[in-house]
Amino acid sequence: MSNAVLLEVDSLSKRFGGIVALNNVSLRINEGEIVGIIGPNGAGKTTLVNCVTGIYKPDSGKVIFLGEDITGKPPHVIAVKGIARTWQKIRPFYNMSVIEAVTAGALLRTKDVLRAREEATEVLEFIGFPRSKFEMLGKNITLIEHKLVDLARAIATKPKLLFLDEVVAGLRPHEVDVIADVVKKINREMKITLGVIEHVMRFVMNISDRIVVLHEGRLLTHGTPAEVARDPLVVEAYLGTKPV
Amino acid sequence: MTQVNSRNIFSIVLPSLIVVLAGATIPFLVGFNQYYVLLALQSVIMASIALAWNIIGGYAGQLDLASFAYIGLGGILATMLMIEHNITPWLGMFLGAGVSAALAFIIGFPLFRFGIKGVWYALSTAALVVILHEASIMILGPFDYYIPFVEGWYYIRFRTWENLYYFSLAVLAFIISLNLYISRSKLGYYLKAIREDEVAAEAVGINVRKYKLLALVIYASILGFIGYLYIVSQRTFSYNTFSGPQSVYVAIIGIVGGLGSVSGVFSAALILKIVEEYLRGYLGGVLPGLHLLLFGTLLIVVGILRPEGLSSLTDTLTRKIKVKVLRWYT
Repeated sequence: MSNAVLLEVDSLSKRFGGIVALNNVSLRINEGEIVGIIGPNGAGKTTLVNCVTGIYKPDSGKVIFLGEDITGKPPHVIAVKGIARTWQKIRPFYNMSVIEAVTAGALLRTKDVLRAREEATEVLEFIGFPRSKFEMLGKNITLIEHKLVDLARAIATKPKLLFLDEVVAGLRPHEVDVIADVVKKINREMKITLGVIEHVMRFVMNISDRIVVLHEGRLLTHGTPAEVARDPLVVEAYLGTKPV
Repeated sequence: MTQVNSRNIFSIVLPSLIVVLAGATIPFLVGFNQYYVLLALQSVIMASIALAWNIIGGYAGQLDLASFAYIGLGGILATMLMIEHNITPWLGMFLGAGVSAALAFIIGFPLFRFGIKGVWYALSTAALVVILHEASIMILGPFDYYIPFVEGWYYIRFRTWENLYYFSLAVLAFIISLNLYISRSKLGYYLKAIREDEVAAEAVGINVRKYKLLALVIYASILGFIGYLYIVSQRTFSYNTFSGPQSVYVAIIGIVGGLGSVSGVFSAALILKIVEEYLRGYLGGVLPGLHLLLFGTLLIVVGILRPEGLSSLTDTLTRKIKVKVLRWYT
């Protein structure tokens, strides 16, 4: 694994009124890694990704991607730079077919619609989306299929860094295993660095090289999955302290 | 690859060709009866307007209620230039298109910059029609013109309606092809993605503001161009050309037809125009307003039975025709 820094988040803060959603968070994501981002509800995981991808403008701090300061740039510019994401709450294109939705993503890197469609087909096949459903409209497919389309749409933009925001939430155990394999394949074969926000521990501990733990807007700790799981601070953040 | 490409061009041009050929026979079928030719002309112009709306309303999903602001502006400009300065509408129509496009840019830029969408976009655009209505009275006085009688291709105006009808048919064919081209191009994919979910569209690298503005400007320039044809087909223009109700009617056709469906919007424009005229002709004298009551009821029935629009019917039909034509062609 190479150690070149891909993304550097430097003392990022974001407030919503009186609530401090992110408090001076600094972290690095290296090229080629899968970094799990965990923490209890309201820890600031999604806010962190929203600040990095331009959905929110951070109040202070810097986001540096490939040595370039991208803090506060609009989302479509950040997508061009090579950061893609999926959504915690699916954002489906109900009145477009599956292949059309993914093609819209692939058109970021080419003007040629036919070429983009071919690329969309390749991406969908890569993540194991059933070919028979390529022409189905978004309103006629199931939740796991929506998650896959969401994922394919993001990958089709050919990102260097991809954030997955609770990609397996609400899925059945065997579906979680399917996605875990797909995510590992994306990392290994497509050479895409991944930031994975997740609550499902079995999933995130299994796929991550490194885990970052957020708690109440602060960076609590980081390390390998095994280290993090043993860390008393993490246990406390999730379960609270022992009653005396 | 080239095969797919040639087939693509085929499917963009063929529907327009069919419409032109079928449309061209109508004056002969009705025996050059001027009433029916005028009805056909008005239907063709309505279909053109509705299909221009389809670009901003159907593909980009912005509920625009300002169509007659652009038609009025472009149309009145071209007509006034002709009346006052004897400038040919061949030039005037392009000037009208340019001025309408400029207005759309001036309106669209701040609206999209500040993220005005949904009902607020609809209200803002509806206000534009009212503003132009009032502003035109302030500038020109309460004006109401009949177009003085001039004739010939220099004025695109004739003693009978056939030539204007053929001309409008050619314009409609162009607009149909433009719609089909856009829906298969990068622009079309991007507009549809914006319609479905702006935030997700932005996250896959789509400059939402830029593409919405582009769609609005294309739509407005087409309407600015058609404006002159609309005014000639009405024989008259006034401050009431900036019509709020007519602008809403255009959006109704686009929605009843099915957002983004060329065949659906086209059929809806023809059917609604003809049904409206039939009801007005046969019931307008029976009880004042009865035809509007029936027309409104009809719209409600369509809304209940086909909430996704006529496109659910016409798309299946066109797909069947396409398969047959392709089988015959290859």
